Amino acid sequence: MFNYIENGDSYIDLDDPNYMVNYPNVDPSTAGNWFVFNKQRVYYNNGLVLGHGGWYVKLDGATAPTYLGESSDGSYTVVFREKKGDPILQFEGVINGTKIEHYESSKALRMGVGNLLTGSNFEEYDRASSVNTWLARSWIENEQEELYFLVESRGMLDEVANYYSLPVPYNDELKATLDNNLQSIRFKSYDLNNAGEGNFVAVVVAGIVFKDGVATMLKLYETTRWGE
Amino acid sequence: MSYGFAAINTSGQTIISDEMENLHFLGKATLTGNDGGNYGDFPGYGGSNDTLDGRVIFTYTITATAPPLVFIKPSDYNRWHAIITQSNSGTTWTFDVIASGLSTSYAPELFCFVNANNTSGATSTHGLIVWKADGTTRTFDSRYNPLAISDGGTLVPPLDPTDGSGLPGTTSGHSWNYATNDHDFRSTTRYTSSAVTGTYSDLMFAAPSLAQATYKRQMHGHKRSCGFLGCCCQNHDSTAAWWVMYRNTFRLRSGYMDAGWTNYAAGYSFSSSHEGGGWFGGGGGSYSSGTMPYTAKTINLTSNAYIIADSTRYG
Repeated sequence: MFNYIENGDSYIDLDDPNYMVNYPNVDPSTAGNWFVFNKQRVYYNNGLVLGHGGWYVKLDGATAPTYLGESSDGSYTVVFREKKGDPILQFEGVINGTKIEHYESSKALRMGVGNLLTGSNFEEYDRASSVNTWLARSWIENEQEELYFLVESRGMLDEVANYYSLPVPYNDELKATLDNNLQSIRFKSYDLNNAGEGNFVAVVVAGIVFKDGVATMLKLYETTRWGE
Repeated sequence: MSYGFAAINTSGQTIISDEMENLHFLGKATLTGNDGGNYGDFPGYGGSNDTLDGRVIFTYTITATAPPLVFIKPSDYNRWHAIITQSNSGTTWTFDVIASGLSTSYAPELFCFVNANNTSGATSTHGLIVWKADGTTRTFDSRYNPLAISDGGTLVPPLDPTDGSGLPGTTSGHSWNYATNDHDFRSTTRYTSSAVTGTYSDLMFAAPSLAQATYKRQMHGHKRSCGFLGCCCQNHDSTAAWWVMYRNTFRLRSGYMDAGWTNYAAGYSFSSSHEGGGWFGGGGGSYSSGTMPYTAKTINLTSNAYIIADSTRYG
């Protein structure tokens, strides 16, 4: 559910007892609800939840899915919509109905996913050397930028946090997940190493926020799915 | 013919007459530059079957008061050549010549010929000039080197310009994000030949590059994953496409004139999308880099007349 999005009660999370009751028969009492498919949480500062959202669907077979989220403090809501131009990240976020968060995939992600040689790995930024794969960049004009990277271990997150002198984005519970079941919070699995099916890379994403060129926040993006 | 002049060879062919205008050597066109070479591989692609033959576009100009007939004399006879554009602004004629490979060090020479009446500047006081009946139009002027054709014929390049087996096409059923080209788009083995005589390294040719071809290999990838009890399935789609545009080019080698293909332009496009959403996810849509000039096919595939001359006759 959402606290700041209109009709927030009608958005049903994976662990909600009303999650798709009686499915595949559509229960009239929940037929009008939105059910999350891929749920996302964004963590920072020792595991605080910065925001949450996901991909929500209705069961009427007619309503298009929606992709949205909100910040924990209510300072913004975001709706994601299609934006053509990038070969992989073909969307943008609309924040509070006004500001746009743009996304750009990196050369490494493009090469890993589609054998593309275009793009850059954002070499002009202050990049932590412990990161092996920079995935993408996003930006909000005149406000902030964010560089996303592939999290290969909890230790990598520690090193990145240390490099930028920022708090780690996880708490004890997340720490256990990062150490023992990292792939369970993957955004997606990609064949980044061209190793074929069965050897895809579980792409766990973290991001560093830059304001005026200074790193201000280390985020961890958790994606969860039903049954996992 | 009740009056006039005619020179007829032992085969009964008219070599010079007051009615037929002979072509004469105007000069060599001036090389003004090249585009640096390109398309030695698919731009923006880093996987298998990336290599192409490459090409350089050389540009030349010459001053002529009539459309010149242009012969190409390669500086490297291993390369394929053709004139791909010809234009004029007043008396300045410009030619773009495609040459296979990526080296800019092997610009061919262009020998240009016009009819006798469009030659000028000779100061020699001896020789033979033949005029038309109007008494002012020269059909032959020995002060300029007349064109002597040593060989000729017709050639048509193969329908398929690609070395890969079979025409490239579009296939579905690949895994999501599959983007590995399986077709060889080079043209090394794709040509037809006609026998010629003479020391090939002295020869030059004139032939129109009429045929063009564009071919594409396209792969559609797909994956579908579903959530709770099969509900809310998520489609993942990808498209990878490689395309090449070719021009008909020619090559002279020992004993043969060949008609083949050289890649003129190429592109690679890739798009990956999946239903999903939220931060760092989601969306659909498409993306492409480079646009094919037309749908995949070969056009203007017809026999080209070619003529060959000995370049050593002309300074």
